[in-house]
Amino acid sequence: MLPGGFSYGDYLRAGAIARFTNIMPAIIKMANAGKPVFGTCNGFQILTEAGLLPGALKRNDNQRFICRTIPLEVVNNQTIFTTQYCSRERIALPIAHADGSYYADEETLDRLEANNQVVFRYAAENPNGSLQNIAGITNERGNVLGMMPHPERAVEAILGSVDGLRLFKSLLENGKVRTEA
Amino acid sequence: MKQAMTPEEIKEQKPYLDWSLSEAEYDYIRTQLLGRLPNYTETGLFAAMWSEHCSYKKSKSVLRLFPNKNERVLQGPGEGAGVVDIDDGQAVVFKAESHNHPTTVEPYQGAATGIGGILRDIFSMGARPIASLDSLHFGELTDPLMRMKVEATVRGIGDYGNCMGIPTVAGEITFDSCYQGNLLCNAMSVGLMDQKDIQQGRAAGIGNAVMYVGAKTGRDGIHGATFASTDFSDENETQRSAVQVGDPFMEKLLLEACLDLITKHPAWLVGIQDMGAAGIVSSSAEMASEGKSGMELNLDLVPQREPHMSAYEIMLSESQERMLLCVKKGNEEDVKKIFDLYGLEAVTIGRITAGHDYVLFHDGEEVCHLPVASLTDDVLEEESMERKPARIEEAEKQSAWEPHITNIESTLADLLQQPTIADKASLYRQYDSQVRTNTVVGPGSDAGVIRIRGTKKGLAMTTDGNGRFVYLNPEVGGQMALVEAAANIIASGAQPLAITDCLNYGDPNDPEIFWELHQSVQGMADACREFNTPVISGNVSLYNENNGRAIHPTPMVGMVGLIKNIDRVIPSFVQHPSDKVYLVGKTRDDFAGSELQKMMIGGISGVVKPFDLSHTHDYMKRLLAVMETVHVASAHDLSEGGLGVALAEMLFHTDLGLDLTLPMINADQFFSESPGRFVVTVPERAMAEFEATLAGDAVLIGEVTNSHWLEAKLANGEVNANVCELQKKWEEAIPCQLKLKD
Repeated sequence: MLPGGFSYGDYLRAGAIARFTNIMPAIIKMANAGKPVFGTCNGFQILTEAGLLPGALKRNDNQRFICRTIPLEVVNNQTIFTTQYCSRERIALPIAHADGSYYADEETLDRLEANNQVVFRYAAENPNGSLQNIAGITNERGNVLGMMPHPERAVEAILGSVDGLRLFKSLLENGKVRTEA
Repeated sequence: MKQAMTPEEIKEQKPYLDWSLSEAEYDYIRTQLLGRLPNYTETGLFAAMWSEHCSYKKSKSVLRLFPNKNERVLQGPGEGAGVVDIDDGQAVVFKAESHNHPTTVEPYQGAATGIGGILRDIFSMGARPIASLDSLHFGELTDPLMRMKVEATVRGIGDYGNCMGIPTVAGEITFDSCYQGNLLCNAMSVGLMDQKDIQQGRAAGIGNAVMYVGAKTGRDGIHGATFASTDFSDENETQRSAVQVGDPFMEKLLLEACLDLITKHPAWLVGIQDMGAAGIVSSSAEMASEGKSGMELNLDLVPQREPHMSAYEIMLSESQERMLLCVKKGNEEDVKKIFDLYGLEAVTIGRITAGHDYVLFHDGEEVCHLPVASLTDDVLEEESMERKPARIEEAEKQSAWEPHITNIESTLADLLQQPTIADKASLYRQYDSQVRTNTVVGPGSDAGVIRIRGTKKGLAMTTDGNGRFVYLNPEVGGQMALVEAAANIIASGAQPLAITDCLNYGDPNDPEIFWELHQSVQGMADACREFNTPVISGNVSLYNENNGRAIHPTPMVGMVGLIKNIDRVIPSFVQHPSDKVYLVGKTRDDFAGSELQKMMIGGISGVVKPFDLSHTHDYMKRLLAVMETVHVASAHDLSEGGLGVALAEMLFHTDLGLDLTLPMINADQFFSESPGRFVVTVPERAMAEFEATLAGDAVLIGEVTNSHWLEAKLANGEVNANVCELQKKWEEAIPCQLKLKD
C-alpha cells in the first residue's frame, strides 16, 4: 500500500524522489510476483514514476490543489480491488491533489481501454483534465492499482462516506490481504 | 567578524532609529541598564527584542485586561501556545498568529510561513497539530492586484498546510477597502496531546546544552520583528528581504523529530522553543529568562546557509523551520541521533552558565555581554495617549440609518453575492480539509469539527472577527467578536473552552487608534469573563497602515469548544421535512456596520448598539443544554446578512425548503445583524422540551418543507425564492470576480 501525502514535499515532481527510496526495489519485486500493490494519490504518482503503471500525472488543468468529494464510475469490477462494487456503479470519493491530471500517449490509452485496465473514471465532471476521465488504472496483469481519489478517506459514516470501504473488502474477499486476528 | 560600527559611531549616527528603537530607549539602555555604550550587535538585539512584536511594550497595559485562567487552563499566555484540559489526561493546545506584513508584501511566502510558524508553536509544546484555521481580510476584488494577492495567499496556505498533512478545517475570509494596502493574514493551529508531555520554553541547569535543530540559518527575514512594528508606505513596499521563505517538507521532518524526542525521551529535554520572530536571539533569551539562567552561545557553531554572516545577521535571521532546545548535559549525542534519522542538523551551540548573563562569541571574540533580563524583562513599557475618535462622537449625534427595503428577494440575492457573504468553496477547496481522516465537519459550516480517535470526544473550532462593528463601536464590537465565535461553537453542539486572539490594529501612537485597541480589548475581556473562555494565547499586530490610512480595528477571536459525544454534532443545514424552525435571540434594528448597509450605501456609519451580554450567554447556555439532551436537527448562527442569508445558507446543498411566518420581522430586519441569534430546526417530538428550555428566547417561525423554496411571510412583505437560483448566484460570485475556473 502506497499512501498519499507529499513524499519528499513533492519537490522536483510528485513521486519523483520517492521512486528512488530503499523500499522501491522490494515493491517492484512484489508487483512482479503478482502480489497486490495499491497506490492512492501520491502513491499513484510514485507508481507511475517507478514505471509500475503506464502514463504520468500532470498538474491539474486549473493549476490548483483541489479537495472535494466527487462522483466516480466503477468501470471494471473484475479486479481484485473492485469485486464488491457493481459494474458501472456510481460512487463518491474524495480527491485531494494538485497533480492528478492523467496523461498517456494515444497508443497507451488504447491499450488501457482494450485490456480493461481503466478501473475508475470521473463520472459527472472531470476535475483535473485527466485524459478519458481516468481516475484509476491497473497494470496489465491487474495486481497493481493506482488511483487519485482516496478510498481510505471514505470508510466511516461519521466522516461523510463509506464508498471506499468496499475496495479494501474486495481485497479481503479475494484472499489478497488478511485481517489481524 | 568586525562590528559594522563602533559603539561611539552608533551613538553619533543613531542607526537604531531605522530599526525602530527610539532614542529614549537607546539612552535608557545605555545609562540605566548597561552603564556603557552598547556595541553594534547588542544594539541590534535590543532593537529586535524591544520591538512591539517581541515585547508588547505598547499593548501590555491593555493585554492585562484579559482573563487568562479558569479551571481548565493548564498553560496560559507566555509559552509557545496555550493549553486546555479536555479530560481523560488529554489537552488541546492552540494559538493564532498574524503574518499581516509579510503577506501584504509577498502573499505566497508570507502566508505559507505564517502557517509554518504557528505549527512550530504547537509542536514545541509537545502537541501534534491536528487542524489549521485562518482568518483572512482582503481589500476589494475590483482591484486586480488584490485578486492576485488573494490567489497567492490561498495558495501559500494550501501548499504549506497540504504538504505538512494537516487539515485546514475552518476560517473566514472578508473583503473591505480598508485592507487594500495592508491585508490581514491570521493563522491558527490546534494540537492534541497527553497532559504529561507538556513542554516549556525554558533553559536551565548549569552546563546543560543549548542545541540548534532544523534548517540552516540564512539572511532571510532579518528584522522581520521590527518590520512588523512600523507602518507601511509605498517606500517600504519593497522590503522583501524581511519576508522569509518556507520549506514545508523540512517542517514535517522537524515536527516528527521533535515529537519523537518529546514523547519518547522526555528525560533528555529541559525545554524547547520555536525560533520565530527575531530568530535565535528571542528564543534563546526568552528561554534563559524563563529558566532564570545565564547562557553562552558560540555563533560559529550555528549551521549557516550563506558565508560571511555577521553576528548581528545570525542572531536576527528569521530563517524558517528551526527550533532551539535545552538538553541535559550528556544527552547531546542521543538527541543528535534522533535528528540524524530525519536528516536534520542538531548542533550544540552553547551552554547554560551560572549567573544571569547572555554572552555571545563570534569569530573567537565576545560580541555581546548583556544581562538576560535587559533583553526580555527590562523593556520600557510605553504609556499611550488615547482619545475617542471624532467620527464616533459625531455618529452618536446623528439619527440611525434605515434601509427601507422594497424588494426583499432581490436584496437577498444581491447580499448573497457580496464577496464577504458569497460561497468561498473555490478558495477553501484548495486546502486539504480531510487529511488525517478525523474531519467530521470541514470548511463552509459554522465551525470545523475534528473527532478525537479512541474517545467519543470532538473539538469544534472557529475564527471570527468583524472590523466594521469594532470600527463603529470598539467596546460592543469586541463583545460581538467573542459572541460570534461562541455562537459558531455552540451551533455545532460544543461547549466553548477558551480563546486565542490576533489583535490587528493601526499605529498605536495615534491616540484614536490606541483608544480603539483599549476599548475593544475591554469589550472582548468582559465577554470572555461572561462566557468563561479565557485568553490562553495570541498575538498583537499593530501598525497595520498604508500611507497613513489604518485598517479597521480587527480583533480576531479563535475559539475551541469541546464536544462530549461526537455522534451528536449538529449540522448547519436543514435535515428533514416537517422539522419545526425556531429563531433564537432578539432581532432589532441593527444596521450600523452591516453587510446590508455597506451594499446599499457603499460604506458603514452609525452606532452599533449595546446588547445584554449576560442574557445572551444565558440563553446560549440553555441552547447548548437542550442540544445535548434532545435531538436538535440543525442549527446555524446568524452573522453577515442576518436572518435572510442564514436561512438561505441552511438550504444550500440540500433539496429541502422552508415555509415561515415572521409577523415580528419587517423587510429591513430580515437582514439586520443583531448579535447572538440562531436558527434551529427541531423534530416535532422534541418541540416541547426545546420550547420549555428556551422559553422566552426562541420563537417558532415555521417548518422545513420538501419544495426547495424559501418562503417567508414578513410583517410588510413576502419572500418566495427559488433556492437553486440563490445558490447558483452565491456560488458563482467569487469565482466570477476572481475569474477562477474550478
